[in-house]
Amino acid sequence: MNFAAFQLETGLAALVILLLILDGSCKQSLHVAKGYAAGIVGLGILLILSFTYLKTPVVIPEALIQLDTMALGFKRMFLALGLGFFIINQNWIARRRDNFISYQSIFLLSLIGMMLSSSVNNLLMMFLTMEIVAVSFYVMVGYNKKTEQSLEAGVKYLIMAGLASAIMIMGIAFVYGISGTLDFNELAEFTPDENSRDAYWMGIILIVAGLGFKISAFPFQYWAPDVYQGTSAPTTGMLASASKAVGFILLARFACAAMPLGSPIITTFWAILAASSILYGNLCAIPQRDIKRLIAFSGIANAGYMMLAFSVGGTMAMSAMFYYLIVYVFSILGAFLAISLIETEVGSTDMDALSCLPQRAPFAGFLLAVSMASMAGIPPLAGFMGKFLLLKALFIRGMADTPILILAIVALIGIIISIYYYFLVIRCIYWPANQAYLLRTSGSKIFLTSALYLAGVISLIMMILPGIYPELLLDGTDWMASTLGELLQH
Amino acid sequence: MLLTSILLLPLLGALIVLALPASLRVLHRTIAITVTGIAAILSLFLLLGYQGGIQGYQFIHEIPWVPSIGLNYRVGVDGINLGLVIMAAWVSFAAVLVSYEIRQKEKLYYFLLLLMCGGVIGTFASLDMIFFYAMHELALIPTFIMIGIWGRGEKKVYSAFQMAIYLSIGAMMVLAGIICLYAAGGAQTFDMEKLAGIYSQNPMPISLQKWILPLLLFGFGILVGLVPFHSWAPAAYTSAPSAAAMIHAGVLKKFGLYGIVRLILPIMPQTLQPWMEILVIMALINAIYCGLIAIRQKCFAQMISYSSLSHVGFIFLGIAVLNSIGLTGAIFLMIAHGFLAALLFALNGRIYQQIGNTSMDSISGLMQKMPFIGMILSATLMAGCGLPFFGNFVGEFMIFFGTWQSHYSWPTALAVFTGLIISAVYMLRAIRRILHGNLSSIASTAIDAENTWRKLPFILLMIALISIGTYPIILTNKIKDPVNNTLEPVISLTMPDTTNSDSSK
Repeated sequence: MNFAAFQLETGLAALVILLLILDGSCKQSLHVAKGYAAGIVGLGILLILSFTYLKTPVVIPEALIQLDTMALGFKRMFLALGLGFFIINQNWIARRRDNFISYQSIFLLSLIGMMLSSSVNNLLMMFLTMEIVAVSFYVMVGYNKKTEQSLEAGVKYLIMAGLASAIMIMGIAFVYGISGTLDFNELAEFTPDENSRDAYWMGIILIVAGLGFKISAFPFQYWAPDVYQGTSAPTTGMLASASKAVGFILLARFACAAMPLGSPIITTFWAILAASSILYGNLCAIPQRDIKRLIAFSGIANAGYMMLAFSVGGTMAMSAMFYYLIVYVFSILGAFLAISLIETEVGSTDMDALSCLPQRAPFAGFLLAVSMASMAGIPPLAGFMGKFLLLKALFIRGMADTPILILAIVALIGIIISIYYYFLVIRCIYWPANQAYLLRTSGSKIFLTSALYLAGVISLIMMILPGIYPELLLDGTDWMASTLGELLQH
Repeated sequence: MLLTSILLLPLLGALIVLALPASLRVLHRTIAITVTGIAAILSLFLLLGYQGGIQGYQFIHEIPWVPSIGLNYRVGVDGINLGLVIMAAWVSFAAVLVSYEIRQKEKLYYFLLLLMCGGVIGTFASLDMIFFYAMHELALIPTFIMIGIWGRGEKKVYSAFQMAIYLSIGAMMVLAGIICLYAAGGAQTFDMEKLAGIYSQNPMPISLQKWILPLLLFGFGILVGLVPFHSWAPAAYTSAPSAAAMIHAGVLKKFGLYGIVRLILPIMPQTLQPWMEILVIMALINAIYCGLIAIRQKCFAQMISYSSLSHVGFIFLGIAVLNSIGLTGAIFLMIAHGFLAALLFALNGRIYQQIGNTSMDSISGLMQKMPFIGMILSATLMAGCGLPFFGNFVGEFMIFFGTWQSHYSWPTALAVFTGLIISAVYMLRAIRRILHGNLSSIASTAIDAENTWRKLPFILLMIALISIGTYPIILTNKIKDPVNNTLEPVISLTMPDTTNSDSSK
């Protein structure tokens, strides 16, 4: 057992228990403030501990979970992201005058699942952590039980995520039945014989399908726009960022272990998934008028960009993918800070409603604009560096490999299309087409708590600093990807 | 260090403006004028300190940025970009000076404008391809925002959007091409100089060149406004505030032309010839077609936008003929045209601000009300149709020589025809319509530039235009050597070809 790998998670679990105790022990008005403060301080301390106390990776052979470089890096990311969303959640709950603890504790439980998922080194643990995350999300997606849309989204997510889990466990059964192992390192060394090869690959494809649901990659994307639209903004943000990150982390570990990345057939497999996700996501995002739906489609496209790394293979591409993923989740954090404000204050997530941001909450408007620009890949923001690193990996491989070059061109076309709709959002914020709507939604200034500013600043730092000084994050992602290098060597 | 301080000054100024409260309106403008003014004066030291006859770049300053992938901040000048950097610095200064017309959201305006100024200077000073690209984007994004917020007319948001989409497509193609150059070199460097060296040692495979060359050529072409991809330009320049139009049309647009000279000519000489023959045709279409459209325009802003596109055609022609004198002329014309376009858009801005529109049907007799502006305007328009003693004449003349030398006889004739006749038609017509005749009623309240500060940008740009026109050798001497180096691989490859065609005649 690798105890080091779940020290942070244990701390988080203690925090959840502390919150639950606080809930019962104080007066109604007091416990929210205390719980809120405890949550922020607790997450902050864990984040600092992850940088100071847990500096060195601890790898024990054959342990179910590992604290390798990749796990450590992503745990830090999840803690920072969790801190941001904890604050956004709180703001949303305060608006609804709802029970603070029940929502936040479920949220923190899902965060435990996410952090555990970054340590996974075993098929069974992969399934387990995915279920922890998914079950927490069943509750959070349908949390708004008084609105029909939210219930619809909840049921849809329940059915689809359940189906995905079932498909995945089926795949795990296939793979285990043939290879006789659940461990990723052993899986990397295993090659099926002639008789069992088809069933083995069937199992792998089923697992990829299960994970493809999480990242909303192309043929498994149908749930995303409806669920995103129906769910409350903070949960949507988590679905679009952290839940997607879980999918990619598991996929990176699993694909590096079980699939010979870089071989022609595997390259073609990922290239088709990536190219179709990029084109589908970007083209469908253009006509959207609801910001949450737009981000759902753009998320499909972004999943496509990140899947480019799997079609290239190698640690350089994986490092680029991690860079892209980290920058992407923090852009989503910034965007959803603004979107949740809009949702609670204006009551609509229509793009026209964004036009009230510059007057009512200039910081949130700026944040949303910067995150859109970062996702569109405008230098010197970090999103540019992410796209650049992925394209660089792609082109280097493509110099010797014409199909990859075609894939790179598809990716470029996708990026060009995406610039249009990301700019459309910026335009809706600052130059609304419909002046009447601007007047209708104009109202008093929205009060932003200092904690919200903290969440915004976390997002801004992660969007700007790695763009101006890429070495800062690139060293980290190279370090994280070195874990996968050992798997890839087999 | 000198180059770094020239390009950092405006960027630092932008940060200072951002940090100051929005109520200190005068201070924002003062800071902007100070930093760009110092940068412009410092840029003259480049001209003084530049030593001719030395191979390679001078004033190099290098800071490692992302060493693991070979990405470094590296600036330096040789004859080719020396003039462009100086031009960028002076046009930036003039653009800040004419910005007194801006009366709302000054803080944001000067912040964006200073970003743009730093960006354009950085674009031409960078020797690293990614910095070259990123600096261009840094100047480009503020352009869209400035058109959207402080632009003119009903269609400003539409034209800002149109421009954003067109130029993003072009920029993405260029980025892809740049990454391809990096990947195909296999040397883990984005340095233009090193890459050119690597590719002259072992040329890029023809199969790759076939992809990369058109990608880069048309990517740059879109950014410059090569004819089928030009429709963003007139709309955007008509709606842009003067400073944005001056910097974009005058300086930033030269990014594409400069990119072709720096990245395509020395790196891919093997597949260059057929594409350059196509480019000659496209350049002529640009020059003639846009010139003819310019004749039809009733709006002064539209007319000068099209005339600017028409001039760009000549620059393309000078590059496409692939000989020393043509390319030298092209680079000279880039500089001269930068000053000219900046002057025209500054004048257009002044007229718009005084009268409220720039329709040539309704404005006449402006010379009576605005003698100073009128004098500058007629001199600039004369320069635009190629009058000697102005910079444009020298550049165009050299390009005609170059075209003739490369045995493009009918293109030369056509180009001379356009250069001298078509542009004379619309330029002189504009002088007659706007400046002469009876004073129209809407122009009766117009006032001339009030004081020396208001006159300064026009005077500075005019001095620049005249001084390079009367003493061109100050630049051509410096441009000549690096141009010969750039063209060396191309000429050594095509030499057998030309001798063959000569003997067959």
